Amino acid sequence: MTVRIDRQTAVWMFLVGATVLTAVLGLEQHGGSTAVGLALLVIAFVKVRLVALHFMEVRDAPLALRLLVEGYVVVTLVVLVVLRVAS
Amino acid sequence: MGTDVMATLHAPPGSGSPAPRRGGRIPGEEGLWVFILGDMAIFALFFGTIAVTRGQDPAMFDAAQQHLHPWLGIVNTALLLTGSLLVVHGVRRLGDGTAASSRLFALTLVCALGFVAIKVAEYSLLVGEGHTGATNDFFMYYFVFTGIHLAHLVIGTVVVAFLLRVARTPEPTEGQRRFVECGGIYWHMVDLLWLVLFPLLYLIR
Repeated sequence: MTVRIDRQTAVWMFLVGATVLTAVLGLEQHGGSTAVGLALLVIAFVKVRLVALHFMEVRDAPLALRLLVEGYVVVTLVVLVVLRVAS
Repeated sequence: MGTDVMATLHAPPGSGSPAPRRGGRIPGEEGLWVFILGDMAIFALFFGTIAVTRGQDPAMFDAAQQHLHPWLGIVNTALLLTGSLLVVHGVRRLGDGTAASSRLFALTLVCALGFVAIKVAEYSLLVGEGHTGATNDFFMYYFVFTGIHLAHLVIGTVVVAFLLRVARTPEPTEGQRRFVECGGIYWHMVDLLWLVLFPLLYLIR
């Protein structure tokens, strides 16, 4: 028997898994941990990118729109990482 | 199975033919993306504000964060993600001659109302425990930013209710199809913004 899972359902499964990982990392940390903070940021922006590419269909959009979205993900993540490391 | 998966990966919504790869098409409408990217930029400023606030007084931020109820935020994340998947399939099944699309949008509405109910319960819990926007900078930003996000979500809920109505039309026009696609993209944006707002406020310290 072949079970066919479409692309967006596979992405949703990954996103739910990433949410569980976020919960475990975030709730199990003791005190404030820079490593955990950075890991949570990276996971969050991986999720943002997947929602944009696969749910909002930016994956099949003209290059300009795709670059704007990818640029948003990279720039916002880098700024937040710098702010977290600097604090 | 490998071939099946590849065929599925490259099939555009509602079509069995290969997707155009270069150039592509704008999902929804061009004007919508000006709004979407503008809203995402505003929220990026909110995200930065939260990070700067923590940087200025980590002790205050981390202590205040301990009073939040992260499990409610986690359940709400799952509701938004599931709503997004339902919207994707609802848009795809629009006008296919079955009731699937309207059922999928109805289920999305359940997710949206669940999010609102949990958020309201969460606000009540916090206020009941003595934490309000006047408590400190953390709670001020918590209530303002999650409140603005909730306002987006309430608008999204109204949009999904309209999608449900359109989905009941036996043969949607091109304009109605475009409207449903735009509504779906708006819903995904509400989901996407929460995916960053949640860990920044509830978990990162």
